[in-house]
Formats: sequence, C-alpha cells, structure tokens
Amino acid sequence: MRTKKYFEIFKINLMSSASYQLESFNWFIVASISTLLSIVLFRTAVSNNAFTNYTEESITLYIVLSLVLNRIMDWYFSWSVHVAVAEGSIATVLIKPYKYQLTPLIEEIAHKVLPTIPYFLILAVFILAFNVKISLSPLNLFYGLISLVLATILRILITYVLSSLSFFIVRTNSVIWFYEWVSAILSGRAFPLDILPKVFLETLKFTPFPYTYFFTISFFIGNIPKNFNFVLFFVTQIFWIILTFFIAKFLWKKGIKKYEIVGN
Amino acid sequence: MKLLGIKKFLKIYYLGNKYGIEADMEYKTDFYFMLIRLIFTTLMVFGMVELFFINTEELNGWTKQDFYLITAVFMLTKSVFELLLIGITEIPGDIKNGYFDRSLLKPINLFSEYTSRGRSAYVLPNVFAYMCILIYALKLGGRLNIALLIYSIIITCIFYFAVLLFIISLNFFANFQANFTDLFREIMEFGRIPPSFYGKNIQIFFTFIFPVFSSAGIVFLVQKGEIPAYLLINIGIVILAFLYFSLKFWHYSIRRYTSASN
Repeated sequence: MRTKKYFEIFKINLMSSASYQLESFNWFIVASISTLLSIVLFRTAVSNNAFTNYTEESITLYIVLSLVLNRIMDWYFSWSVHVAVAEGSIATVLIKPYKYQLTPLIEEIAHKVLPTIPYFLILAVFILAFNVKISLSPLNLFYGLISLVLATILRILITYVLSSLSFFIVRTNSVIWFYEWVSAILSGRAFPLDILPKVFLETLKFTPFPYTYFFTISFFIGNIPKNFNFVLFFVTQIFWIILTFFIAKFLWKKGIKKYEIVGN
Repeated sequence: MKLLGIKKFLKIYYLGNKYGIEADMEYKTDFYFMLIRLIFTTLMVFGMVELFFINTEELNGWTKQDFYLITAVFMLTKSVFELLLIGITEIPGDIKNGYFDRSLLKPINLFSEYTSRGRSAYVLPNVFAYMCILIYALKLGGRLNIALLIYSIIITCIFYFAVLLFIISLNFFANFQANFTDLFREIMEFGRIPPSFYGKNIQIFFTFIFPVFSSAGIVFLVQKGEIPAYLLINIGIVILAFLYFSLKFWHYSIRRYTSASN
C-alpha cells in the first residue's frame, strides 16, 4: 500500500517536472557553459604541461563525465527539507500515512529523470567536438558502475545528514552552500584530485569525498594505478555508507523529537 | 518617476544594507559558515593559481601574476556589481508574486528602491577579499593601469545592468519559471579566463559584439598592446547602446504590466 503512495508522489512530481521544460533547459545550458569553461581552462593548462598525468583527451573526458555524474550523484533535497522545517509545513506531512523521510528523495528523483536525459547528449557532443577517444575496458566499466551506485547512495545519505541539521539550526543556507562548495572541490567534481600534490589526495582518502566523484570517474577513464586495491576501495566506500546511514538516522530521530511547532 | 537626491539615496542604501547585514547576523551559525566559506573561497583562488603554475611558467603567454590579476579584476568587478546593483534581480520574483505594485507605488525611483534593498552580509567582505588578491598580485610584480581598471569596472557594471534589465523586462510578457539571470551570470564567466584561451571567433564575439571580456580581459589586452586603447571607447559605446536599448525595452514592457491581486 505504501509503495503505491510513493509511486503517486513520484508520478505527480514527474508530471510537474515535465511541465517546466524551459527551466530544465535553462539549467542544462548553465551547466554546459560551466563545463565548457572548465574544459577550455584545463585543456590549455595540459597543453602547456601544467599537469603531466593528464592528456587533453583524458582531462576533457574527466570534466564532461563529472557533469553527467553530477546529475546522478548530487542531491539537493536538503533545501526543501530546510524550507519545510523552517516554515512549519513539515508538520502536516509528518502525520500522513507514509514516511516523510522518503518523500523529498522521491520528489527529487522524479524531478531528475527527464532533465537528465539531455546530459547524455551533451556528453556525446563534447566527446565528438573535442575528438576524445574512449578506451573503456569491460572490467573498468563494471567497477565504475558499482562505484557509481555506491557513491550515489553515499551522497544521498550525506544529504540526509545535512537535511537533519534543519531541526537544530534555524537557518542552514550557508551550511548547505558551504558543504556543496567544499564537496565540489574535495570530491573531485570540479577537477581531478591527482593534479594536486600527492599529500592532499593521501589525506583526502581518510574522508568520504574522493570515494564519490574522483575514483568513479577514474574507473571510467581508465586512470587507475597498477597496484590499486579494489577490495579495499569498495570496503571503504561501504564503510562510509554504513557510518553515514547511522549518523543520518540518529540525527533525524533526534531532530524529529526536538522539533516543535506552534500555529494553525 | 522622480529621481532621488543622491543624499537621500545613499541614506536609504546605507539603511537597507545595515538592516540586511544585521538580519544575516541574527543567525549566528549560518553567519559563521558564511564567513568560513568566504575565507575558503579566497584561499581557493590562491590555491588554483599556484596549482596551474607548479610545472609551467606561463599558459598561452599569461604568467602567474597575470592570472592573479585577471581573476582578481574579474571577481572584483562582479562583487562591485553585486554590491551596488544586484537588487534588480529581485524584480522577476516580485512580478510573479504580485509584490511589484508595492515598489511601483513608493515615492522613490524604482531602480533606487531595488538597488538599496538589504543584501547578504557576504557581499561587502567579498569586495575586500578580491581587493586583497589584487594587492597580492601587484606585490608579486603584476602591472595594472588603475585608470583602465576603473573604466573597466564602470563599463562592465553598466553592461551587466543593461543585459539583466533586458532579461528582467521579458518577465512582463510571460511568467517564466526559469531564471534566465543565472544563465547570463554563467555567460559572464567567460570573462574570467584570459581571452587568448579561446578561438579567434569567440574572442571577437566577446570583445566587440557581446563584450563579456570588458570585465577583465580587455584591460590586459590593452596593457599588453594586443589591441589599441581607442577600442576601449568603441566597447564603451557598444555597452551604452545595450543600456539605451534595454531602458527603452524596460519602459515599453512596464507599460504592459497589469496586476490583479488583493
């Protein structure tokens, strides 16, 4: 019965997303321009030998893939939860016969489905425009896909942790902005982490960030060191998922208990 | 519409911003994170420029000092615009929500009303942060003609204002859910990168037709002697033409505005 309710929420939001095509197109163009700028900047840097571990082709592929994976991996429902908590509208949803926690996630999935399709088109356009040759082995594709699924779960859970903060802090705008900004840099979404001095990447391995974008894209572009320990990598990814799950669950439970609303 | 006296405008502008900043500071955790983000963003500029020049002396003829300067000038121009004129981007939201009438009925100039609205506490420290980067670049040995810098900031702010006003005016004709001002802001980011990084056609387009490079690139092209200084006047004329056309379109659009609400 519950599944049917969630499906209805999904359906309504999917229809709503389909009716704002111009908005999706606008964001698509914005994202494409920022990707194009990154490509121009990093290709020029690589052609001037600024980064020796990337070729013009591999850096282009890295940046374009980060644009597409951004649509799959990044979640923004912490904003809607923040508004619902701050304005008190969450109170009416909490008493409905389904779990509120899943609602913002389902809404966002529905709003992501249709606008994500053109991003695969832009991937093809950039690959053709910059004449990028892809040499993806089936094994790397397999590792990449598993890493993508796990990284997406991890980022959803991190978004839940951020959402839970709305119960404790009156205004979380800057906290969310700060997380999004830090995450773009430290996860390798903005640029590959192995162009940084080695000590940075080694330190970042103790955080969940590089286990999302950087390694996943590295699998897809085949930029993995020969002695790379795949087992340790996936175990670490799963460890972060479990840890974040319990933190999110704890904070959400605490937050709901603490939450108080007065009004009609 | 009657133009405000400069003294009255400055007073309203000061009060609007004072209350805006005070309101932001009410939320302490949020405010501290805002400051932390500002510090990190500034440090990031240093980090990125240093990173690009670890293994190389120059990128397409642009040295580290040039890179610091172009980034600082671009960001400074953008933050000066945000400090002075960004308030006009609130107009589409007001039109959609039916609040625009309130501003129309006030006994002050409409643009003065919007530009003096309280903005985030983030904006003023932003200007200082980019000025610090600029000073650092000059200390590294970078060269910058101050008169050119001031000219560039003024014409770029006029250009941003003109294009945004045109985009905002479109909201009188259709109720757009999409925010095209964000699209324009992203296009302006082309000015962050040195012009020689792009192909020739893009360089011509963003220099003379849609002068995005007015924000920083042109200043350095003139300084390097790659384009003659008199072309800056031509670019200024193009921008003034943009402003003239946008103002005409704005006045035409605002006459079409009708409001129905309680």
